[in-house]
Amino acid sequence: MVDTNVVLDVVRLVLVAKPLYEAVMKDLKDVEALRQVASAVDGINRRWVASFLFLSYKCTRGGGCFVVDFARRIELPRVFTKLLLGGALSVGRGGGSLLDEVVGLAERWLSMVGSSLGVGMLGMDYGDFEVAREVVKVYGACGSRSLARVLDNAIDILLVAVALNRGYGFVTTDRRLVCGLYNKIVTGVGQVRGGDVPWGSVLVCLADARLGVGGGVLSTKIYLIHEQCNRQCSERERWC
Amino acid sequence: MEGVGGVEARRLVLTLYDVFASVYRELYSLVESFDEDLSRGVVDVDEYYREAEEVVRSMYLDAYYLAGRFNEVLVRHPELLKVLPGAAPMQSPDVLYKLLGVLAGVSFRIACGFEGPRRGVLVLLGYSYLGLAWGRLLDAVVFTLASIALARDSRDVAVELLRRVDVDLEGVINFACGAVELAKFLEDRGIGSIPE
Repeated sequence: MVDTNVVLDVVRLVLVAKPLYEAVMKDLKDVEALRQVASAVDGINRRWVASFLFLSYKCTRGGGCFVVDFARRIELPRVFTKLLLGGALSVGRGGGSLLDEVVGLAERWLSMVGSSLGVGMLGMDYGDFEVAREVVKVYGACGSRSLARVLDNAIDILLVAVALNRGYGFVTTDRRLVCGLYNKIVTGVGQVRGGDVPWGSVLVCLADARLGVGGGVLSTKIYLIHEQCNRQCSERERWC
Repeated sequence: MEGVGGVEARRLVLTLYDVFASVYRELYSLVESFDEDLSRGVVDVDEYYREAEEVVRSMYLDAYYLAGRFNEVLVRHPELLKVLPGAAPMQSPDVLYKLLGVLAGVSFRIACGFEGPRRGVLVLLGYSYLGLAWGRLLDAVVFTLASIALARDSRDVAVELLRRVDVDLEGVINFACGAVELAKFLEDRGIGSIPE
């Protein structure tokens, strides 16, 4: 199960290469084009490289990668709204609701993610919500501040709950989430070594997620792709 | 700045090759003998994979050292600096990783404009850049050899080599070109970057 930001990293790596690609293909000569090439190289993030390789290894060969359907209605529209407000995306004035347009664009893009990268879509069911409620109860027991912090991250909690409920590994770039859940749900964040999994790297950490539910225990693995994934989670970062 | 552009970008790529080839002479010899064997049609995939493992054992991707060597070249060819980020790029090995990352993106974009074997050749070259940027040296070497094999119409050799590092040839080609399609979908709507 893949956090949409990991998929976005894959696309970021290709987007950032456009100015250099154009310089190479068209032999651009103007100063502005060169400035863009320089700024493109500078903008590369090593995490994007890690995300690209991780999904290349994991999602090809019918690896069964998917994003949760919340991405279609909530997460990606949020990204496209940012693009809209940042001036990068323009939508027509004529007719229809702006939200419909943004959601429609997100849906079309996500459907391409399915056909182009082989990343499928997973629908959530009531059992997933029940597990998410259990996570919230764990943090509610830590006090109102902890409860508030968990509820502020409700969508991310749902994703972790789906992974726990179904025993699917969860790939994310969100260190804030992993560290937020540290100690109560997540334990043992550590660098993945080559040999353990083929995509071992300093930028990829593996953690265990566990939750006691009704006398049983749900557990899964979380892969964190982050430049500082191996840095210990501080008390301030933990939500409980 | 007149006359500076694609030519410099291409020279920058070649310069990077020169730096790697001079620092990793064993790798260079491996690639040369592999290419010769391919042209004679006598490649032993197991043997080359073992040799690749040997070469990688002796390789240490010391980014500071490589950045230093790269810097020496740039001192001789300062015009190439115009293609790199402005602020003292060579003082940090970070720029090397960034350059490898962006070159991978460029290779994928060029590759996916082609059909047939040429697409695979360039996609695998892009993956070898990513392997280097990520510090997965064995994978990077195997991707390079597989790319050369495809260029020499030895698809079966490329497939066999990639299988050793658990990579599916069609899978990575489709994935890279899928990423390019997704990026173009956004670019067609005027989106050139996605905020974090």
